[in-house]
Amino acid sequence: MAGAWRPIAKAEFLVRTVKLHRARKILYPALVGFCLLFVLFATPNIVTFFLGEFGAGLDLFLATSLPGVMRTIVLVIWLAILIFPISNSLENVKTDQWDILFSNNVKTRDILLGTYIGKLPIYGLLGLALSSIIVVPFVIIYNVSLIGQLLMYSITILFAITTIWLSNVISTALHAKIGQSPRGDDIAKALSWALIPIIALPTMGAMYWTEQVTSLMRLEVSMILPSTWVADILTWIAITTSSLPPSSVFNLQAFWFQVSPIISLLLICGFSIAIYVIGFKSADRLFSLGSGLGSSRVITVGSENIAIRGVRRLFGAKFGVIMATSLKDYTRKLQNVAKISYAMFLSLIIPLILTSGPLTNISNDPIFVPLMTSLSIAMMLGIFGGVVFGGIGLLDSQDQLWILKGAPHGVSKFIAARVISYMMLGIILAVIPAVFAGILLGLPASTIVVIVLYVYSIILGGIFIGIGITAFNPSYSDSSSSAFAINTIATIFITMIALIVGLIPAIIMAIEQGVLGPALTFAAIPAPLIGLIILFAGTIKLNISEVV
Amino acid sequence: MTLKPNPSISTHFREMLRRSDCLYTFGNNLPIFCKELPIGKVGKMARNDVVIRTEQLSKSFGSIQAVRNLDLEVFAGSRFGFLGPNGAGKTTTVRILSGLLKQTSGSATVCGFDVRKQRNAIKAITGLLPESPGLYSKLSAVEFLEFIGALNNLSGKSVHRRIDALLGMLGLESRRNDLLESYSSGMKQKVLVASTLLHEPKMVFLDEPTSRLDPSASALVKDLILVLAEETETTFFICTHMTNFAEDTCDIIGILNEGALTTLGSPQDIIDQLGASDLEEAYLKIVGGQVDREKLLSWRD
Repeated sequence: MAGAWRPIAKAEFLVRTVKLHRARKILYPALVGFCLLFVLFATPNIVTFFLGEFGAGLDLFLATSLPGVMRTIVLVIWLAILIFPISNSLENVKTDQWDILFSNNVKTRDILLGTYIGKLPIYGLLGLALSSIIVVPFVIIYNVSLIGQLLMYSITILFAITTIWLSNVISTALHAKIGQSPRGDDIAKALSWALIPIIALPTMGAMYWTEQVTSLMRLEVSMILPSTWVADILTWIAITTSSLPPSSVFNLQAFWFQVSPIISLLLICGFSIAIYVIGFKSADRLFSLGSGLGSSRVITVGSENIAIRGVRRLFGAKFGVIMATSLKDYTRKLQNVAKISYAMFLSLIIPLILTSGPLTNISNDPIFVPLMTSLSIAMMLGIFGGVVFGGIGLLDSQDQLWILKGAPHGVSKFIAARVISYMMLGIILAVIPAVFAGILLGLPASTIVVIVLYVYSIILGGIFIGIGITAFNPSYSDSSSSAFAINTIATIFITMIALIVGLIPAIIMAIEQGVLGPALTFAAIPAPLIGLIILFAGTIKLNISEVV
Repeated sequence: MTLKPNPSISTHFREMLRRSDCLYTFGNNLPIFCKELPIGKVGKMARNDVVIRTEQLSKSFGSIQAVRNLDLEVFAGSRFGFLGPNGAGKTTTVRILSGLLKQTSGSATVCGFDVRKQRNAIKAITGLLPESPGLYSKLSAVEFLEFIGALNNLSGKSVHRRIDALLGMLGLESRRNDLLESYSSGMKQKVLVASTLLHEPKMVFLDEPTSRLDPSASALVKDLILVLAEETETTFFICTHMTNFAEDTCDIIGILNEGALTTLGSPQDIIDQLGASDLEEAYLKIVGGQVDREKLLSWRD
């Protein structure tokens, strides 16, 4: 069917803008207008403000190292535009729509083109907003002419929409490979979490180790990245259309450009054409649904491991079974393992930042360093504790809730088992990063124990708050629901409040009296207490709830 | 109309029931594993004892009246079929009777327990098969049934013997240790049937028990119901759209339309009273739904 990409693009657009719903015709142009205002006025003012705050030193650094900084920033933004749509689409693998399309005699390349065009109005705006972050610093520091600015915006937007195409092709391939099934859904959600460090690593690098990363980006190996080609083209346009003296332009080019910007331009053009051609050529293969990863393998459970057997013995015949079930159900889900791994990854990065990032020069303070370490790790894991163990980890579906409600005191027993099993998993989450940080920072064993206990108490607070809020307003397994979004925001907000309530007096106590143990003990109390109140309230609400 | 299970299948079930070691005790004995549960207070329900009684039972969700003034009596050991179109209020009624929802007005008792005040007592002696499967995808059938047993205060070897017997009976023996995520919808439904019967409820609520099953599995569930009702005096309250299934399985039919009970009687009585050839025709006469041929093609204009 010729031209079938148009209705597909329209359907995709309607899906992507579903939150605008009936007011779409007014709200979408308003969104475009807001985005343009952001690009034309907000970004220049924000960047000017920050450049002013950091003073002449930053100006000088940027004037000489901007091409390197730009390679880093473009890399981060490129990865964000590439990975976020893939990660987002993996939250909900749906291939049954393809059957409808194919049964209507639609060509695979029409589906690919239609979904791409349909995504552009939203992701394109994201690309435009992000491109302003790339272009504006050049404009301000190098005083780039208007033509130069227009050229730079054109290049970044073209690169952004090419990246969206690549992202669309990759996510389509992943959907076909994984397939729509309960296991496929779990694999896809795990993958969506596993992709986040690809963005997080360079972002954190750019934030905390700017100079080191900038030097790294000067290495020839960075020339394999399309983002480097684009960054170099932007630099070239900026310096040649700027008011810089010719000698400065020559020096910057000689220092930074391993290859001529013309070659970079040819490379990026070739890359763009190639990925469009490869995408269209491979459309038939991309959409070939086989037995996806999710349904190709039947997993048979073996005998229980020593930990599960221990849990059964510890909690007795009846509650032990519910506990064992809760642990098996949670830990067998790849998405949960991925979330815990991600939380662990971030909490292991924190001590690295403390030892080699901007706080290096105060790393010998016996109170400040362990205090900062404890607070940073606890803040990260407290929030993650709530989001990872509450949220969609609590109940899979409303039907599951009915089954629990069908048993006498079923909901209470289930919530108790969930909480205790998460508390057990929380021990691992608290001990590993805290001990790693302690060893890396050379802290005494007693201090490490205090940090472990503090971090664990905050994780408990997060778990109680997360489960309590989810029990109040179950979001089940739908991470795209408004209930999930509200619960996540509420969990983060309340955990932060609970953390701060203990934090402020603890910091004052630690600084004024120079005592770490009592300060952290004091700081550890509010979060679990507040959490327990929310947990009990949520459990009561779940027990009496009447959802149809 | 006399309802009889398929002799060869029912013999097989009876044998399985006997071999399953205390899965459904026969005669007057109460099951020993229910000591902790209020089932002891229920005592023996003789046939003709009323196990479900509702008086002016109503339930509203905001402005929507899901159930209106329902007056109903269901007797012990009977197989009560609750028919009605989508949204008629069948599931809501079942949820009220099984202690999951509170009624807006009226009263109801199940095995003598008040549905408003004694919900946990009702849950202990009833089994509910929900409309759609809410299984744990990352558990095997055995692990899931063990979990359901534990929620109902059952544990130990006797539960495992029951699980083995039920899974064998339902043809899932070879897949017992596979994760439920790999089960077909029919297999999931069978696991749910097993989970509903595991704690030997005196009263079983089945919400669309055969909607996902193939004909042979439906026949199996039908025979299981007939044998259990006959041998153990278990009462079945079955919500279904399947008029054939209801006609073959149930001894009393109630038809619910827009929240109100419109018809009550044996399948044959309902068919005779409406001058229909079968229950489907009688059902359509009551709730409507017959469309003339001309109207069926009108969308093409």
